[in-house]
Amino acid sequence: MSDPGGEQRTGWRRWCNTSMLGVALLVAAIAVSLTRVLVIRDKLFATDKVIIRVAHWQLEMGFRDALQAVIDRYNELHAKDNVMVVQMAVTEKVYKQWLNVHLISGTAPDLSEVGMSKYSNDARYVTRYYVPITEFVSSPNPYNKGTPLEDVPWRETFIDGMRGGYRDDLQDYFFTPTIFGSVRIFYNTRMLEEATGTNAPPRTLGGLFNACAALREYGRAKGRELIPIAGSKYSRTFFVDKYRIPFTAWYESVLDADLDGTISTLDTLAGFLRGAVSFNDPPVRAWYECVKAICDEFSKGFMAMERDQAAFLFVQGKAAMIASGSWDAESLFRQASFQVGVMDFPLPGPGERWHNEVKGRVNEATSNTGGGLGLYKYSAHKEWALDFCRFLTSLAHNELFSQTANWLPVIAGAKPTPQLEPFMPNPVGYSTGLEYKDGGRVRTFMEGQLWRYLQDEITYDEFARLVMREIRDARFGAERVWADEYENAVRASRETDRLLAVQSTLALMAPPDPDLPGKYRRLLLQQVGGNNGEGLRYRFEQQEGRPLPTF
Amino acid sequence: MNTGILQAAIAAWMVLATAPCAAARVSNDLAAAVGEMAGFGFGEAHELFDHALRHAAPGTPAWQQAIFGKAVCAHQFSPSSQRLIEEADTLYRQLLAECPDSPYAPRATMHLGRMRELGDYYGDAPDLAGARVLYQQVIDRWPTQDIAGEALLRIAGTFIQTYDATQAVHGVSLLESWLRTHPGEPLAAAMWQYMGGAYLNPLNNHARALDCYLEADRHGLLVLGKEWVVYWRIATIADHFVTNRDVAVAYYSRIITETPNSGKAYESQLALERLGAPVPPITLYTRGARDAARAKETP
Repeated sequence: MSDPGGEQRTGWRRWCNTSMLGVALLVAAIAVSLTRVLVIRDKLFATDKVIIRVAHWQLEMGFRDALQAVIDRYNELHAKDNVMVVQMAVTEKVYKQWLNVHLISGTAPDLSEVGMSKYSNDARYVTRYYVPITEFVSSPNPYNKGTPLEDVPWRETFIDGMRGGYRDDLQDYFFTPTIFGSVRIFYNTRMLEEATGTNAPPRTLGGLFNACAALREYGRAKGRELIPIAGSKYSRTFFVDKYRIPFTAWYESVLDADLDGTISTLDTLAGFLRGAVSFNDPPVRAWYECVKAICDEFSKGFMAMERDQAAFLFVQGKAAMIASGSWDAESLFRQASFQVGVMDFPLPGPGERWHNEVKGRVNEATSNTGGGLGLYKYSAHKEWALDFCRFLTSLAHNELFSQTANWLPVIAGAKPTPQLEPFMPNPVGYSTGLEYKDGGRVRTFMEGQLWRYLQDEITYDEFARLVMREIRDARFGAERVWADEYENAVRASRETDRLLAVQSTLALMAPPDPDLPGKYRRLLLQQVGGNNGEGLRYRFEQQEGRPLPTF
Repeated sequence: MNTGILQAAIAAWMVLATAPCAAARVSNDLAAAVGEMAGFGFGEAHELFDHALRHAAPGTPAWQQAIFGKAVCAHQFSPSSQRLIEEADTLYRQLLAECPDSPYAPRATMHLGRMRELGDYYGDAPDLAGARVLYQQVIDRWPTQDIAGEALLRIAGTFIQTYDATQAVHGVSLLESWLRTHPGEPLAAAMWQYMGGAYLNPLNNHARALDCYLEADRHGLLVLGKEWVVYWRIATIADHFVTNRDVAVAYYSRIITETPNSGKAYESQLALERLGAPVPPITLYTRGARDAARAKETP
């Protein structure tokens, strides 16, 4: 080794070269990684403490801080019991695989957010890996002592009666909900005021369009293109969904064949087949035209935009409004350098276009809580994990959590921050309208054509013609959906039989469980009442006058 | 001492010495199998029941439990196969032949019926007549056990699920006559509710459907968290099909006050307004606080 002058390096100087720098960096990186692994291992797997691990994928701004605030209080309260709760935030990109592997290998966290991974969602795996909490939900939450909820059963303290934690197919409460959300329109108050002369949000759909026109004009006057609404692939469905029921609630009396108060996908497609509903009906046409008019206020090429890009346009002041959920509120509030207002999706006012085609607003009474935490069956500290769930969903700590995260509370009586109050769900309005969500290929096709229509690639009449052709298609249309639905019902009946067989065997072989007879009867009725799917076959044959085709 | 006697004595001693261990092993296997089954581990439970079956003395309670458990696992394993179904059928029948009075015998007979009624693959034709025969055996052999009512409900189901009006009428008449003769039937609520659905469709008899749903409600509905669906049916049938204003008002009101998260509270308010009845407010998102207040008021 020699210096540039050719002089040989000696002593420590012979080690100063680029190769050794690389080695040094590598050693440093390994040291840092090892330290980090050891610190985490010490934190998560300390043997001298009862460690309760809580895993979730909520990486939105504010959530982890809020959960940590509650965890810190819990850890302080139970320091004398040597209990420590630790949160594990895992990106949703790998959460599914990560949780599945840990559930199978017996190393899953004591509490994990369920729903995304198959093994925390599919009924048979849920019973294998999670503990039902039904026996605990009818007793008051001890952490509500001294509050108005002191004597209220834990289940009833949730704003949805803990429906979000209940599994219909298993007839058990399995999860502790932690999240509640709704969708609204965020707006830039300063920009709105400067463009329209008032910072009060538009109260009618006509008012919204007037504001959009004023915002465009305002942008032009400032010499830049201002986008009234930052649309994206993510937010497009909010508008389609929010206006679906207001425009199509009329059809309940015509399409709800079994009087269960709901128009199903099959009811909808059957209605199209027999002509009870048509794309030329004024309310249906008005619904799509209304959504189209709103999409015209989006940025050009919105279908190619992701959620983050649209949010970026909004917080940078390049777009005046954006539709999103309460879960994004804190991020938008924090990142925007202007005051952010929140408004509901306005309906056409009297005298405005489409007013006569609207039946009324959509209600949000059926909103369920989510973000359920499941208690791992092989957790070594189930009692403490359950205790933490009770703590997290007590009135005081849910309020602390929701106010710190700026998310909606899940516990009745817990107050959100004033900023979040406009997100509180409104129970007034209608609950059902035309539905396509279980429409299989018809739905996929329809959505594809809808996006083409919304982007001016085809006219409404062309959209209607193409979709009707698909609905009537003998191989992939409504008949196929019907046949698939029948097959699903037959399979579901067989699956329910498995559950019933397990329960009846446990009744004979396991220690008595006071909840078991009730669960068994409910499941039995659910299965018998489904008539092994034959009702679906009967309806098709009644309507079409021919046997249900097989595929 | 004769060598033969000595050998027999040693063998007897070995049997007696190891018997408690074998019994404990069987008992452990059975307990582990039940645990596996509770978590839907049919494959693992099948092995454990099989192990217990091979070591338990035939005819003993442990043997009965093992053979029944093994049969259930073979029957319910997913994905199913012809071999497993045949194995389940053989094991259920073996249990019934060798221990006809076993506590597992009624359920084994029911499961044989279920195998005939339900197919495992799409297109499997159900053998409703064959299932009916087995369900009837349950009623005939164990008429005083709760399972008899379940078997009757299953028989009625085999008629109603045909959606043929004559057969459906026969199905509901079986249920009606059973309920008349079995006033304490534990499945009464389920039977009334099921009949309500059958009268609605395919029998299109709204008046009888309403009676049945009201009766089901009187017995306590078996639809945890979805009571509103029955309330809505009762209210709308009473309102639009049979004109029973009082019933309609009562049930629209219950939807608002008892099941506000059904999404039907607002429409119920509109209906009550139309019927000229008092309209309760929707207090959905203050429910916990409201219940708490009510609990405090009640001494």
